[in-house]
Amino acid sequence: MVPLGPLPHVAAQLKRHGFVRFMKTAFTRFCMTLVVVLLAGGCGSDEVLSPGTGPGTLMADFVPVAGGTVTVPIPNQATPEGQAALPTFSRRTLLRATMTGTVEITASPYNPGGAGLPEPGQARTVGLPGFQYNASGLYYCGAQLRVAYSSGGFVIPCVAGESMDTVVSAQGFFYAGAGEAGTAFRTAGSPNAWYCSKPGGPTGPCWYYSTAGQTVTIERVTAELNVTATPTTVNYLDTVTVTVSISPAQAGGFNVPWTIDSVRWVADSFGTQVSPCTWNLFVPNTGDAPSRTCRRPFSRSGTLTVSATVSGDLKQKAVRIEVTPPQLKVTASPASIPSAQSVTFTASVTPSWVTWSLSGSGWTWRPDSGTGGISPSNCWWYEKTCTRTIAKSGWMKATATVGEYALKDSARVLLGTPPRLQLAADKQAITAGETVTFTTSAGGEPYTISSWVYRVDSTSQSVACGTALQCVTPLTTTGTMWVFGAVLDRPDSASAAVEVAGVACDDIVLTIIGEYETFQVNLQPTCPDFSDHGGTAHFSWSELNGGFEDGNPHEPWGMVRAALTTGLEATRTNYNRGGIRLSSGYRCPHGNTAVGSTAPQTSYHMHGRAADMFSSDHTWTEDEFNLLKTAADATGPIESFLWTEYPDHHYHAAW
Amino acid sequence: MMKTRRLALLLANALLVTVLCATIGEAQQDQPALARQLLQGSRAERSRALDTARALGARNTGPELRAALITLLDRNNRTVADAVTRKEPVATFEDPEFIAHVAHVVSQLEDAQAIPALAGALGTGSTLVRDALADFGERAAPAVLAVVTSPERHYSAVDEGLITLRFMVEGTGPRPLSAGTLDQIRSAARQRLTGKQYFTTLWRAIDLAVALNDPGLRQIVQALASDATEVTARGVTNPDLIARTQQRATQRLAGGPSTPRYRSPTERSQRLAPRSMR
Repeated sequence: MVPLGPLPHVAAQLKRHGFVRFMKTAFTRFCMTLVVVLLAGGCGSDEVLSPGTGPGTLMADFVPVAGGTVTVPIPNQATPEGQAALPTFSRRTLLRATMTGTVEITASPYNPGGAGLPEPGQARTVGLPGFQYNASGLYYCGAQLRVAYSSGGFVIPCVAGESMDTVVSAQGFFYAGAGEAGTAFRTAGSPNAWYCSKPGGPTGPCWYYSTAGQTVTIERVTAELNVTATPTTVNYLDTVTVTVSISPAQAGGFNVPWTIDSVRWVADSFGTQVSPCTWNLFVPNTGDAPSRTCRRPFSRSGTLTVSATVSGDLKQKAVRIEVTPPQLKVTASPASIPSAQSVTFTASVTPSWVTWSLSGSGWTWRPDSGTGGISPSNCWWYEKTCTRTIAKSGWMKATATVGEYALKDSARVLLGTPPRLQLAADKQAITAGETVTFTTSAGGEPYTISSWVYRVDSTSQSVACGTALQCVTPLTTTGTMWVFGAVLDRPDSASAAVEVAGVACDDIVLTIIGEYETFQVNLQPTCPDFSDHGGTAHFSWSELNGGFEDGNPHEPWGMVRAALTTGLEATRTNYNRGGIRLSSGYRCPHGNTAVGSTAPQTSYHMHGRAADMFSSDHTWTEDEFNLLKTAADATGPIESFLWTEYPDHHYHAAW
Repeated sequence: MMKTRRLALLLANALLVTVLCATIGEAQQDQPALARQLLQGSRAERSRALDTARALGARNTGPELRAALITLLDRNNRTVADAVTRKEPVATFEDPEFIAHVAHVVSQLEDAQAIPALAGALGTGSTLVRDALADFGERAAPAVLAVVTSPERHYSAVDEGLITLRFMVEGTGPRPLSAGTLDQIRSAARQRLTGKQYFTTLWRAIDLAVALNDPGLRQIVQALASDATEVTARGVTNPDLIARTQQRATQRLAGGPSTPRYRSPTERSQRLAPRSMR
């Protein structure tokens, strides 16, 4: 067969081999090209070498190792062939292939040169314009990932004056796996080749390709599995939406493939329970949608564990769902009676809409002593509300069944006067900051607590103990703890006083406190009010505590209230235009007078509640001032001054 | 024996009544002195007297001291107005913190006679004034409307007036506003939503317009939200401020909350206590 060269050689070949032989060769070449084109059609976007239009495309083999890096071996010839195994992925997997490096093409000794052709030995870097993958061609192409090097189609290396950009990287995505066996890539073979011969000389490849300098990295596209429940805490039989999602859901425009393999539900109590959300209840149930949801009522607390295969990786995530069990509540009204009289007992279940019934004997009356005390009869199982005459102190118990829950509750009836609510403190005298435990009682009778309040002088401070029967809290000021509640159904309150002794003061702090007396300031701070450190995310202690030389010469000691720091941080957030510079924060009374304040007794700077501000990042104009002021005003300061207040136009606010 | 015991009890009661009367009388006698110090004392005396008046609380403040506090607030209002007119810093004439503290104390008096002075103190530094005026509701509306619609008033006073009207519309007052007052508020909002305005005034007018829920006013706000040229037509030319104005209008139309929010008398009283907000 006559070796075929590039088109510029057609005339020379005709002259050398004659017309018939040329046509025969040309027909053979046409058929081979057709085969390659058909093959390429099956492989989707694979670029096909077209012999006769330049050195064309070289396809190289490589060993794609998931997560690994391989160097692409390129045979030192124009018709590289070979094969390498693709790893087998048992599940559908999205892979990312990245190629970096350069390719050099050198004209071979067979290259005749001349007439625009390169001289033998001349080399050229042609770069890596890209590579293709068989995006959907597993069936047709046998899971081939094809890497193609091209000099740019029509470009012949070493043509004088021709220029070409060097592309140094390329990236693509492809799917592998789905149970397919690992297959090998094979180059297109001889149709890719260009053969040259010098007149009368041997025939061989026209070009050699460089053998090193290219790297292909194959890695699995990974994604996180997320499982959430909304809400996570529900009442009995409330609906919960469980959402399973992956992130990221796409890479390079390709959906990350994933499937929910199984859903395991471990309920906390009553043994096993079929999962409220099984894998087939998640919608959508097929495809690669980024999230799937399941909405079902939950009757028990437990843990839902989702197992999924995400881009070939087995992943597992769990979500905890808390179900507040149904509650049976029994009340007696009135709960305390001076003598024998009618009492109404009521049983109710929360949530109120669930179906329930009293179980067993329904109601059980247990007097404190002996028997009887209820007439004319005990309450019946079919009565959810019953009224009976009670002549003894005792307990009325009810039992009920709600789904898998067996519930019971009791109500107390007291014949006589209920005892008073009692409050005891474990310490009556403490130093500032020490913790005190307050404990309530009511002579053994049932009682409830509604709130806790600590009173100092004439002011009351809520204590965050809610409805707890015991309250443990640190105290800094002498005062009285009050607790409010009800014994049986009678509202009551109780109190316990605590004396807080002064703490040892630093001498500097004593000096500052003395200034408050000297300057007759309308505030008498105590040692715990002062600190020698602090600051917030955006305001340093030295800024807050003084901000300038004369404001507080007692640094680092100073007094900065939480109201100020909270207000400043909130202002900065609302302002959303960069930093705020404080020119003055806390001032001791001496410093306040030194800076010329004519409010020597009342300035909020001395209370640690005021700050003077400028923008850190913007030119200080009236508009900028008002942007800052508007931001501060939204946080509820009690003082917010105007642009025209001070000669330097600083913004003053106090919280 | 019984007679002696009864006599001793009577004497003890008489002594107690005398002591109590003397104490109360002393406190009452102090108040005229405080009033004089407030109006005629040195800066230090005025500052001390003001704090004493604050500590007394509204319930214990007699008519003479109330009148002095209101007079002092009026005087301060004039000082601020003069300074603004002269384009000189307020601090040149009076300490701005003292001015604010006087307004704080008067705002806590809950005295309708203070309404004109409080309206005059809008935008002078104390943010409690607007809450106090809103508490009066209908009674304070004419004074606040006069501030908001006055072309001479500084934008800071107009801004605070618009906030006060919003509080009234949002229902903080003792009873719903009359239809006539609501009409006047709508008219004031329209005035401040049209024509040239300082950007903060436009913002506060947007808040008020949305609170009023009037279709016509909402239409104006919608135009501001969707068309930057509408904002420019109000005199706001800085691109950043135009964008912020449109953002505010959009947020308010979408139901976003307006700030600042109203504070109740109890909350205000707690905020004024020297040891509050630790």
